[in-house]
Amino acid sequence: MIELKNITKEYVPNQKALDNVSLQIKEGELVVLKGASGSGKSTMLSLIAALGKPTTGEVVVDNKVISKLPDNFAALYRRENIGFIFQKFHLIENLSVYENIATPLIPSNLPPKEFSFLVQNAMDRFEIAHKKNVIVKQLSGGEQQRVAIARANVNNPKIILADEPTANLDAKLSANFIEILRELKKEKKTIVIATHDPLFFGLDFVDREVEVKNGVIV
Amino acid sequence: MSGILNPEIIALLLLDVVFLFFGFIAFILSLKIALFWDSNATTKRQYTLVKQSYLGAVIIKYILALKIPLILFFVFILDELSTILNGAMCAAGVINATPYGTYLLVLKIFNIYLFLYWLYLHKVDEANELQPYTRIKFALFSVLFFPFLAEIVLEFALFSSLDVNTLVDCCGTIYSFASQSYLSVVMRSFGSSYLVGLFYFLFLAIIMSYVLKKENLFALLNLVFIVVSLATLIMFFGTYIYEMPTHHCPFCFLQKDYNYVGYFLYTFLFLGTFHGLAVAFVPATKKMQQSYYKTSLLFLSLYVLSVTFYVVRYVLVNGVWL
Amino acid sequence: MKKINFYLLEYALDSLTRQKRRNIFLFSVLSFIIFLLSSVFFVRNSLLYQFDDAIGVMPDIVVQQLEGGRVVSVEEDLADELLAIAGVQDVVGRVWGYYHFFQANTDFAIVGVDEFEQNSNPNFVKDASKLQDDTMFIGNGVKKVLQKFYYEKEFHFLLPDATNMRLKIAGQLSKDSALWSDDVMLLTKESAKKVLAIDDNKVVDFALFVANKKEIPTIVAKIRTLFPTAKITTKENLFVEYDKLLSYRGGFFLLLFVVTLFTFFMIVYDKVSGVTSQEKSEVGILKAIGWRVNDILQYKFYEAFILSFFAYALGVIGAMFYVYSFDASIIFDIFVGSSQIKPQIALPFVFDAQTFFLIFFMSVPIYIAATIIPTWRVATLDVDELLR
Ligand SMILES: Nc1ncnc2c1ncn2[C@@H]1O[C@H](COP(=O)(O)OP(=O)(O)OP(=O)(O)O)[C@@H](O)[C@H]1O
Ligand SMILES: [Mg+2]
Repeated sequence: MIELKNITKEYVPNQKALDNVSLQIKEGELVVLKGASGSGKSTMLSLIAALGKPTTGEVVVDNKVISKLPDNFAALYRRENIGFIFQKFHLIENLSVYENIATPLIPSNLPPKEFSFLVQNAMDRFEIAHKKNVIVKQLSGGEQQRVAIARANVNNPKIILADEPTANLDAKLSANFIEILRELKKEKKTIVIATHDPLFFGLDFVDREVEVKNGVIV
Repeated sequence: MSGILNPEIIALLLLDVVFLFFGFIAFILSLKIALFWDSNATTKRQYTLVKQSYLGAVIIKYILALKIPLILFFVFILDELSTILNGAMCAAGVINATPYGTYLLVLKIFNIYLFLYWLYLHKVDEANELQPYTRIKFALFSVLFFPFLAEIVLEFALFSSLDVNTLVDCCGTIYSFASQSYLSVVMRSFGSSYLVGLFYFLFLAIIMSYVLKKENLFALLNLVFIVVSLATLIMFFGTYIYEMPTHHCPFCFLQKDYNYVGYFLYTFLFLGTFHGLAVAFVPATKKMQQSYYKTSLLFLSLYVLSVTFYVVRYVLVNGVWL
Repeated sequence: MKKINFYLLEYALDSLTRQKRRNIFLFSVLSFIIFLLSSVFFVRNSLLYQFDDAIGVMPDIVVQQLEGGRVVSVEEDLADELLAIAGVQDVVGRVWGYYHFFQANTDFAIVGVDEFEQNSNPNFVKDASKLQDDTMFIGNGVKKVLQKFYYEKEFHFLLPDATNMRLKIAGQLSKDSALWSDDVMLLTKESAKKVLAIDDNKVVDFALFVANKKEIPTIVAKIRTLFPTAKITTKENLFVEYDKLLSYRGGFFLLLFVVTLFTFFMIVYDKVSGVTSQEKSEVGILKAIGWRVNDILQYKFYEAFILSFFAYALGVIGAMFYVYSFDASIIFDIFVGSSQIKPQIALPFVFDAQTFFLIFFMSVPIYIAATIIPTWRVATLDVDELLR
C-alpha cells in the first residue's frame, strides 16, 4: 500500500511542483495519473520510487516511511519493490538486451542459476528472448520498450511505475502495451501510470483515474 | 636526505604522502560531519554531508586496505635493511637504530586496531536505516587522525635518520636478559615459568568468559592477553622456535630461516585479540557478536596451538627443556 | 568478509571495453611506467645477486697503503707481519692495476696471479697451467677490442719505459664472471709487475683470508695498530657499499619515477573526471533501478583495479622478458655506467617476491587513489541530475 501524506515538492525554492498532495493507493490497484505537461505526474512517481525526497510531507509504503530513508536504503527499497518503466526507457544503449535486463540483479550477487533463470524468465515473458544478444541501440522503439518492461519486472517487484509508457510508440504498439498491462494487473501488482494518452482513459481494468493540475489533485 | 635512498623506503614514503593527502581530506570531512550531522534535517547542508560521508568512508577504507599489507611490507623492509646496517641481524636492530623505531612499530599496530575498529563500527552503522553511529564514527576518525598523522611523521623521521655508518645493536643484545633495556628489566622481575602459567591461564579464562557470555570480561582478558602473549613469545616460546635458550627476539622468526612463522603468529594474535575486543566495543547485533566471539576464539586457539607446538616438538625431539 | 561479486566484476570489465579510447590510453601509459620501473629493479636484483655470488671467493680483508689518496705499492715482506696476527689464515700480496690502450682509448684491468695461489678464483681460468710468464688470459670484452686491432694470438704491451713486451693470448676468462672479468687481462705476477712498473719486491696490496669470520673485527683492530695509516676494507664493507651504490642509483631513478607517477596521477584524475554524458546517464540509470552509491563505488573500484592490475602484470612480464632475454642494455648502463667495453652479461634470473610487491605498491594503489574523488563525484550525483 502506497500513501502520499501532504506532499510538497519544490525543485527550485518557492516553485511548487507538487503542493500539499495526499493520495492513497491500495495493494493491487491500478491507478492512472493524468494531467497536462508540467502538472507534476513524473514528480509523484519519482517520490514513490524514492528517487527524490519531498520538501515536506511523507511517502509511506507498506508502513515504512520511505521518504526518510538514507540513499543506500532507498536504493535497496527500489531494488526490492519497484519496477520503473521510464518515459525515455533509459536503457544502457551499448549493452545487449540480456545485459540490460540483468543489471538490476547485479548488486544482489545471486547464485548463477537463480540469476540466469530470472533474466531468461523476464525475456521470455515479454517476448524479447530472440534478441538476447543484440545491442539495445539497434532495436526498434517497440523492442526497446519490451526490454524496459522486462527489466522493470526482472526482480518480480510488487509495484510497477510507468511514466508516459506510450509516448514513443505507434498505435499498434500502444495497444500491445495495454495488453501487457492487463496481464500485470492480473498478477495483483500495484500499478501507477503517469500519462496524458487518452488510450488509457476509461479502460475496464483501470481502478482509478487521478487528475493532476498544477501540482494539485483535482 | 641523509637517510638511505632505498627503493623500498621511497615506496613507503610515497604511499605516506598519498595517505597524508587523502587522510587530511577525510579528517576535514569527519570534523564537519561530527559537528553538523543531523539525520532528521532536510537542509542542504545535511544533504551535502550525506554525500561527503560516502567519500570519508571510501577514503578510510582505502587507507585501511593498504595499511594491513603495508605493515607486513614494512617489517619485511626493516629485515632487509638489517643487512645494510652494521651489526643488525634482523629488524630489531633497525627498529632500535633510531629513537623512533619502537614507537613507530607500536603506533602502527595500534592504528590498525583503531582503523579496523572504525570499519566494524561503519559496517554496523551502514546496516541500520537510522544510521545511529554516523556522528560517532566520524568523531572517532577526527581523533584517530592524530595517531595516524603521528605515524606518518615518525616514519619520515625514522627513515631520514637511519645512518648506515653507525653501529647498531643486534637483537641479541636488545632483548637479552643481561642488558639494561626496560623490557629486559621487566622480564627479569617475573620468572618465565610464572608468565607462561599466566599465559595458559588467561587462555582458559577467555574460554570461560565466553561460556559465561561475559563480554566485558572477555574483552578485558583479551587486552591482557596481548601483553602477556608478547612477553611470553619473547621470553619463552621464541627460544623454542629458535631452539636457542639465549635468543630472545620478536623479529628474527619473521625471516625465511624460520619459515616466516612470525607473520602467521602475529596475524593469529592480532585477529584473535581484535575480535575479542570487538565483542565488547562494537555495538553489533547478537548474531554478529556471536561471530566475533567465534573468530576470536578460533585465532587465539590457533595462536596458542602454534606456540605450544614448538615447545612440544623440541621436548619430544631432544628429550629436555631449554 | 564480503564475497566477490563476479557479476559486478564482469560488468566492470565490459564497461572498460566500452570506453576504449580513454582506457587504452591509460592502460598503455601505466604499463609503460611499470615496465620501466620493473626493469630497473630486475637489473638491480640480478647485479646484487651476482655480487653476492662473486663475493664468496673474495678476500675477507684488504689492506692498502694510501699516499695522497692513491694506492701505492708496498713491500712484499710485510705479508709475514700480517700472517703473524692470530686468526689470519692466509695472506696474498696482490698485483693489479690498469693498462691504457690508447688506440681504442680504453683501459684494461691488469691482474697478476701465481699459479700456486690457492685463493685465486677457481672459475676464472679453465686451464691455469697454460698461464706462463709469456702468456695471458683475457676477458670477453678485452678480446673484442683486441680483435678490432687484429690482435688475435698475441698482444704487444707498451711499457712505461717505452719498450715493448709481447704476450701470447692463451685463452679466455669464463663468461659467467663477466661482470668482473670483462675488461680483465690475467697475467702472471711477474709480467704484471712489468706492465704496471712495480718493483720486484713490491705488491699493490694484501688480501687476507680469515678462518673464523667472527674474528674479523678484532683482526681489523690489530692491523690498525700495526699499520696506523693503512686503508682496511672488509668484505662486509664491500657488500654494503655495493648494495648502497645500487640502491642509490636505483633510488635516484625512483625519484624520477615518483615525479612521473605524480604526473600520471594528474592525468588519471583528469581523464576520470571528464565523465561523458553517456557515463553520467549510465550511473543515473543504475541508481534509478536500485544500485546503491556503494554499489556504484564498488563497480568503479573494480574497473580501476582491473585496469591497473593488468597494466601491472603486463609491465612486469614485459620487463622480465626485456631484462632476462634481451639483456636490458639501456637500463644496465644506469647501474654499471657505459664504458668502451660493455660487459656482455646474461643477467641471472632472480625471483624476488619482495620486488613484485614493491612494484605493485607503487602502481596499483596510486592509480586507484587517483580515481577515488572523481568516482565519488559521479556516484553521489542525484538521479534527477544524471538523467536529464
Ligand atoms: N529536476 C528538476 N529541476 C527543476 N524543476 C523540475 C525538475 N523536474 C521537474 N521540474 C519541474 O516541476 C514541475 C513538474 O514536473 P513533472 O516532470 O513532474 O511534470 P509532468 O506532469 O510529468 O509533465 P510531463 O507530462 O511533461 O512529463 C514542472 O514545472 C517542471 O519544470
Ligand atoms: Mg513527466
